[in-house]
Amino acid sequence: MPSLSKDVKAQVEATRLPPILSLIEQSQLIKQGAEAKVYKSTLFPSPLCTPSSSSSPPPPALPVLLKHRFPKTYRHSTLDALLTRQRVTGESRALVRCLKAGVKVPGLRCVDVKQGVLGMEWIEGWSVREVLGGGQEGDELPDEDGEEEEEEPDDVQEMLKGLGVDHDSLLQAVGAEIAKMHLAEVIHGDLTTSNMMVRLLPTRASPNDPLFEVVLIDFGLSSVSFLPEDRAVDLYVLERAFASTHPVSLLPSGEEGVPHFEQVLLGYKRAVEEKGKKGECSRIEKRLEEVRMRGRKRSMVG
Amino acid sequence: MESFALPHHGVTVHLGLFSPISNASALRTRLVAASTLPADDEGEAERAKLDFAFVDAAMLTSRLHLLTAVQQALLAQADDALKTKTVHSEVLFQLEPGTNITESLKHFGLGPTTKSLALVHIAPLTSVDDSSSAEAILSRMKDLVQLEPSSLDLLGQLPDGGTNEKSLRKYYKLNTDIVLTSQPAGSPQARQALDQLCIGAVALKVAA
Ligand SMILES: Nc1ncnc2c1ncn2[C@@H]1O[C@H](COP(=O)(O)OP(=O)(O)O)[C@@H](O)[C@H]1O
Ligand SMILES: [Mg+2]
Repeated sequence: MPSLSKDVKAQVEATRLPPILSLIEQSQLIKQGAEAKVYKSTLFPSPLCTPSSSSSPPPPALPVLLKHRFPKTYRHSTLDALLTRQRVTGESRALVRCLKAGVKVPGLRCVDVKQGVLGMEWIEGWSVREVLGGGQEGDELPDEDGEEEEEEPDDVQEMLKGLGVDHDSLLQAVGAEIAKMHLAEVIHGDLTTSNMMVRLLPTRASPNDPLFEVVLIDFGLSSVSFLPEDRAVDLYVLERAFASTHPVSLLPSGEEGVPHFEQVLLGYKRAVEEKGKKGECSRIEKRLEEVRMRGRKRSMVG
Repeated sequence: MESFALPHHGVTVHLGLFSPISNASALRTRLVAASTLPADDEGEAERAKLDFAFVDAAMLTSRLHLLTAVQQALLAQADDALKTKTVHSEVLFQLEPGTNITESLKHFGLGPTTKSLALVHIAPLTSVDDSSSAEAILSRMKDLVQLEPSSLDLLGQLPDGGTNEKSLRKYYKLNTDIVLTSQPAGSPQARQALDQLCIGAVALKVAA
């Protein structure tokens, strides 16, 4: 006969949350989406050092982003578990595929397929959407603790401008990073200005070193393909996103400048010409034109 | 030695780096012998002394590389999905990209010629700042190697080319990765890229 204390212990064990969910309970929710909840957290605290006299200070705790694809009650549970598993593995694999190819994406930190949680490097920066001043998407949550922490879009723009980061070079860098991703045969599947971030680089060794980098995020809908058609659709999705939120930059005179997406495309083409195969760029451009035509026809038919 | 309190796992993880060790071969012999000792007091006492993960530190790129393997081992344990006998051997298994347990020991475990040794001890969490049990664990580590601990900052850049980048690239299949081939060999950028790829490979193992 099992002892009472063992029974109690078993019960406690059974009701204990899986570790990753218990960590999430302690984490700061930053976005509640339809598919996933996104948290800022830390996987490992700053350690206790023994002997404490050791010369180097303990390493700081590193922030991570946890993305929890929570169970959906409107789906059959078996199907839901399968879909969650696929999305989590798909997103993790895409991140690693990009890392290998030198595409700037957050490093992978933790995968729990069963609980549907993915942990990645925290990118300290702003979404391109914020930088361009397109306003909030609406579902980000205000910072819990900081009144001053959440900078106003205007402040971010002013600060970056002060540092010498202008919109055109930012947009071209966006295009170049997408090109690198496509050349790694990754299709993003959800290119919007919220799914790319700008991060300032640490102090430069030479004045020619870049000031910032663009980091692509949110690979939940990504796939692997090298087909010009898939690449063109990826670009077209972003073109539509620009058309609806931040189409053109304004010149100091108040006149309209070059459309934003044109700048993205410029950076994209330059990178594909440089690193891709011969003729690859013109094949994608041709496709993009066809995809645009289909898009227009569709919207005319209504 | 560094001790990481992980309340969500209910454990504290103690990491110690010892370099250069001079008794790798003898330690290994002890490890092998301990596994066949009878379950009497003496046998259990010897096994308790050796209750660590013995990792060849030449095969680690950073503390985060090792911690990621520890974390994935703990997640597997919580899921009742350990592929090996103990959470300590599971750490070695999580470092290995393949599914072969023997290979994981061969590639990442203490070998007869190991020069730098990382010891991992996972203990139930007592309190977040338990320096007395940390002292006790450090002295158990020191008993094994007869050495003072080194800073874990050395991982990935062990002195005298002590980090085995060649084997890391081979086992994690990184040799054709553009992010590595496009960086000058030995540069800080190349080291950082290698670290990111190794961490990513460990985290991805469950999803690979
Ligand atoms: N690695 C990261 N570092 C910092 N912030 C991030 C990171 N990943 C995502 N975010 C922030 O969280 C938001 C939601 O994440 P995302 O992966 O796009 O999830 P969703 O599928 O809900 O859009 C992003 O728009 C961005 O603001
Ligand atoms: Mg998103």
